[in-house]
Amino acid sequence: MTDVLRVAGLTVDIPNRDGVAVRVLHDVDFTVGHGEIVGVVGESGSGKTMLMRSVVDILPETAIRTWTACEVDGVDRTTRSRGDRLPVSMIFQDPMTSLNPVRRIGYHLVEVIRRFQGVTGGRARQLGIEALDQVGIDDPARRFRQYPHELSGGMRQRVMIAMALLAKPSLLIADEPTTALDVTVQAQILDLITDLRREARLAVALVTHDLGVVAGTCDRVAVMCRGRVVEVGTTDEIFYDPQHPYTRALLAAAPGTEAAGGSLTVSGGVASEWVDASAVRVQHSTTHASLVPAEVAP
Amino acid sequence: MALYIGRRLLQVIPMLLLISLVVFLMIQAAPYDVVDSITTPNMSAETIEIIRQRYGLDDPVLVQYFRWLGNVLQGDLGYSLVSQYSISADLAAKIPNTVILVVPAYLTALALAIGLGLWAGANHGRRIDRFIDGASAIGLATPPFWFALLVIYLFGYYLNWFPIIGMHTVGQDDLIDLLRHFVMPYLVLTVAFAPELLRYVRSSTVSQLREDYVLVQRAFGASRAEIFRNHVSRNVLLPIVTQIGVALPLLVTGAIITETIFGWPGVGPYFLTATKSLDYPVILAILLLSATLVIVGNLIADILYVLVDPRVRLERSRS
Ligand SMILES: Nc1ncnc2c1ncn2[C@@H]1O[C@H](COP(=O)(O)OP(=O)(O)OP(=O)(O)O)[C@@H](O)[C@H]1O
Ligand SMILES: [Mg+2]
Repeated sequence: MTDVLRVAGLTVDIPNRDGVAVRVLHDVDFTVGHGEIVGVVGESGSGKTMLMRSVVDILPETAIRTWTACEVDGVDRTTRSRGDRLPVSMIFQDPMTSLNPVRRIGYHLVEVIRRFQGVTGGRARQLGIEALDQVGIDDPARRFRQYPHELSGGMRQRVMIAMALLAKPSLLIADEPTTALDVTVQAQILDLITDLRREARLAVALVTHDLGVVAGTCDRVAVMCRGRVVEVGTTDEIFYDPQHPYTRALLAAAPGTEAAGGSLTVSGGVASEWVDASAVRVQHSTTHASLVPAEVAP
Repeated sequence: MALYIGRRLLQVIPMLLLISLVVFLMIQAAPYDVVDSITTPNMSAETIEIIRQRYGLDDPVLVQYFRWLGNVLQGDLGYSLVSQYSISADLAAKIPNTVILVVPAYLTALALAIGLGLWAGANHGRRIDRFIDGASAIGLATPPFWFALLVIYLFGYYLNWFPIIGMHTVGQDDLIDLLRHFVMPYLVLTVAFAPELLRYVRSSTVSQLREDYVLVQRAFGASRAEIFRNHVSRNVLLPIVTQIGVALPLLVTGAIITETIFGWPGVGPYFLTATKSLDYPVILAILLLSATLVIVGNLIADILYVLVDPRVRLERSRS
């Protein structure tokens, strides 16, 4: 069976203010299999968001992206023409600012329905309300008519998920979808995502800072450090048999992996001390780990 | 909602009273005696005293204030010291002239500002943006009187396309003649109004384009044009309606310099003449009027804002 997403050799440069290209992703490989939830962890600035934005084509305008492969559902998507619709949806960290404050919830949904399903009018309205219902919003017909500020953060993230589903994706990318929400709501949103994975046969790429979330929901984990994926493995492999020194440091730094809210920041020398270490890439292949030297970045 | 508007109206009344009191006290403090404008130097002191009593000028200040306020509310702003004419009647003749000049110029400036501001903002940092932004900076830095002189020299004198002064040619009062007089002051005024509005539209467009919802819309496959048309422009344009309220005082004091240069018989020359001859009642009447329009304009701006912005709309009506 082919993977839902396969990205290989992804490199992204972004010119800084002085026009000097800064490499934010180095030769990254990343795959998500069918029905799988893949966690992406790594400290702040390691390139998790840039990796996801590369996939859905929303890098900053000045960014230069190169890759050797990008397949979605087995179809090559390395080059895309404008207006190509990928079966990939992305939701973001801050549901408070993700919606246009002067447009109703329904407007957001209907726009996506028209764009991805070609349905308009009363039928689109009905689909929108059904989608709100599907993501667990009470009184969906009323919410449909409301403005974003009338909904709580958790509800807005549900609206984002409803929007994401209406685009009929095979892959849902969730970039820290619960970071901005309080703890009980976090759990509800994660439950919703795992439920959808089962019901809608959705694959999920879940970016998070929370190792507890990774342990509880992910099938596989990719560890990122300074623009590189330094270690990939099943959740068990990463937690019980970490090979890369950076992974080990991350796990050691987390205040008990089960604890919710354990923040992924390596204290001390921050990432710089892992520069050399990150030139080595660990790829767990089902059972045994192998150390693969990565190309040294320029 | 109606409650909010009602409350805002109630807040405005004390402010208006305060302004009227300040203006009244300024009249009182002015270095002239009102009675001088009625009496002649060869009247006896007793006659003057009788006149003073007849006009109630020996009453306590507060009584005089309320009497004055009552007159103002009935539209009686008193008399010019110089011409002895009724100020209300004078203003009633001048204000329409100012209005027919200011309103078209302001609306043109607003339309230009919206069009060019959105265009520049959408192309932030590109050549067209730098050009529009540069032009509006030059416009902002150019004094209207200087630009007016340039326009007069070019179109009035050198090309001799338009009459230089006034609103009508003597003996002619057809529309074509009015329009020929109208063009140059209108142009000058439009150029005076546009740059500030334009900068506002442009910077608000640029900041809207940085909002998260724009990135989200991109992620959901919206094209640049769709994002701009359906999301950004609405966020930029809604707050602009409030500008219309804020612009209300321009109806009276919006064209003082331009009108004076072009001899346009509006409030401008009237006000400047009064200033030159220290005609206090006229100056203070115009001051009172424009201060009132500032307050009323702000009230209108607030109400319009509540009407157009869904966020404020709800919070206000709940509280
Ligand atoms: N808009 C941008 N323009 C230029 N560089 C950027 C931009 N956004 C992020 N970067 C840089 O790209 C690198 C990767 O950032 P990215 O946002 O992908 O990190 P992240 O792993 O998602 O971090 P976090 O956990 O804080 O979200 C960082 O060095 C950051 O400084
Ligand atoms: Mg991020």
